[in-house]
Amino acid sequence: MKVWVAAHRYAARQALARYARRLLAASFESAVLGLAAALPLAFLVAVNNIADFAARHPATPEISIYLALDATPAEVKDVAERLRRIEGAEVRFISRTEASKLLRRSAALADVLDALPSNPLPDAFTLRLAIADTHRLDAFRREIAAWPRVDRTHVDSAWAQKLEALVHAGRLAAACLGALLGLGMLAVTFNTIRLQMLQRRDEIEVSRLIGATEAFIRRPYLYFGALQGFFGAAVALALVAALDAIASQELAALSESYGIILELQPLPVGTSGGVLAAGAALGLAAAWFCAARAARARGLRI
Amino acid sequence: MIRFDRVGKRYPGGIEVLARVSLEIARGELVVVTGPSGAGKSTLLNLMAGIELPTVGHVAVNGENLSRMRPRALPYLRRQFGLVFQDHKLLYDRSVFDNVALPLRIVGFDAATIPGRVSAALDKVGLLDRSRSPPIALSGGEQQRLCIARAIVHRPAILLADEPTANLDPDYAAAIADLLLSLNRAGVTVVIATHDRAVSDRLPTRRIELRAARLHEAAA
Repeated sequence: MKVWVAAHRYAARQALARYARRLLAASFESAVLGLAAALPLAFLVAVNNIADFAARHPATPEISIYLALDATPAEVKDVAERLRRIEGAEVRFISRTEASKLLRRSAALADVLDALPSNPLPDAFTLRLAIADTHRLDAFRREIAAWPRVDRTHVDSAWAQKLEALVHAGRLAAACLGALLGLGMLAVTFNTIRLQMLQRRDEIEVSRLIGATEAFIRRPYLYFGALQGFFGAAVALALVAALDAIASQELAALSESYGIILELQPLPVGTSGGVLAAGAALGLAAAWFCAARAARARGLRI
Repeated sequence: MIRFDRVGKRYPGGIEVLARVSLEIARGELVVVTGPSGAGKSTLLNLMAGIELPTVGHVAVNGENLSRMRPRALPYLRRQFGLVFQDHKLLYDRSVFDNVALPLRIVGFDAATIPGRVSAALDKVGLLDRSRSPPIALSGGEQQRLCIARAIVHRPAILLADEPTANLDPDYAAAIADLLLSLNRAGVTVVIATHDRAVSDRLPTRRIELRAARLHEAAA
């Protein structure tokens, strides 16, 4: 264990020393990785803000409940009481007379209603619930539909579904973009490590000759790859934070002119930590592939 | 300890360097391999360390056939060796100290014990005052001594030295020969490949001569 810790400490020091020795080049490489990672991250921030905005300014989905045409006032009252017992519900009653009046505001429909022998519209309720999940909302609708004297129910959640689909597609696009650019980051780090291994082939050869295992040889490169990925992710986060700050100012001015307050939310701390960890993991993976390939390609028995 | 059993080595192009060479070196022996340039002295040492494999026959170290050894086991075998290379094989971007410390770091020595070990090895070859210098600042002879310090710092069981006095002036050559002798007296098996007659004459040892790809035991 002590030997293992000593070996890792040595490898980490070596990696840091190599990074420090070629600080400018390494910083540029990290900046390239950061730029590549910043694009999907910025996209993700935008999508998250859209989702956040939608959540803060909800056009609450409505369930329309139409009662049977022959429902008695007592039955209507009973349904109204049941609806008002639902926690957080905003219930509005539209009587069949009121519905008819509303329809008559349209001249064409007024003629149609006049031609009919009686009012064809039922008593109805609209129910607003603070439920954004369309599946839960639909389950709720089915439950109400089973109540006595309820003829038909309808969930007006098309906009919510559209927004949800849009946010979902946006997140998916960010993930795809992230995966693609992640591959790019892998390639950049792989190439950096490959060049380093080529530059240090004498050192690798000597180390093998005097008893270094492949793990000992590989370790500093793995640390270097992880460091480069970590710094790349840090650059990406810094870029996104800068973009966020600039866009926030512009958005604040724009939203003020519309009389609303809009603020861009930065990436949550947890997500930022995840981005740093993912960057380090990508760098580590690239270095691992490169070192494994170099070990396999070794022709000489040294 | 080291056994060659009808070993042949032929390089691409048909150049035969060793032909049916059989040899046994016991633990604690001091052996000097002589012969003209290109006779196969370096190849013989490379075969002992598992750096090269024989074309025919087999080489065994401590009873282990190197041709059948798993690549993963090879580094652990190499740690039993101290290798002095004709071309030094130094790391020029590291200090003298770091070059000598490398075998200790590979083996996993405690960081606290490394400076003492390195200083002792550098002291033995007369380079203690140059420990912070880069190897490029050393003369050819000093680089050779640095290579020797690196080979002995982890106290190997077997020391293979390929022309260890090639770049040294006579005084240092004699000092290095004495150092190798003292290591041997401390129990280290030492195999030296040299064409330096002054060194081989100075060492009271078993001599092997390589001529025309064959091995000849010479009288001490």
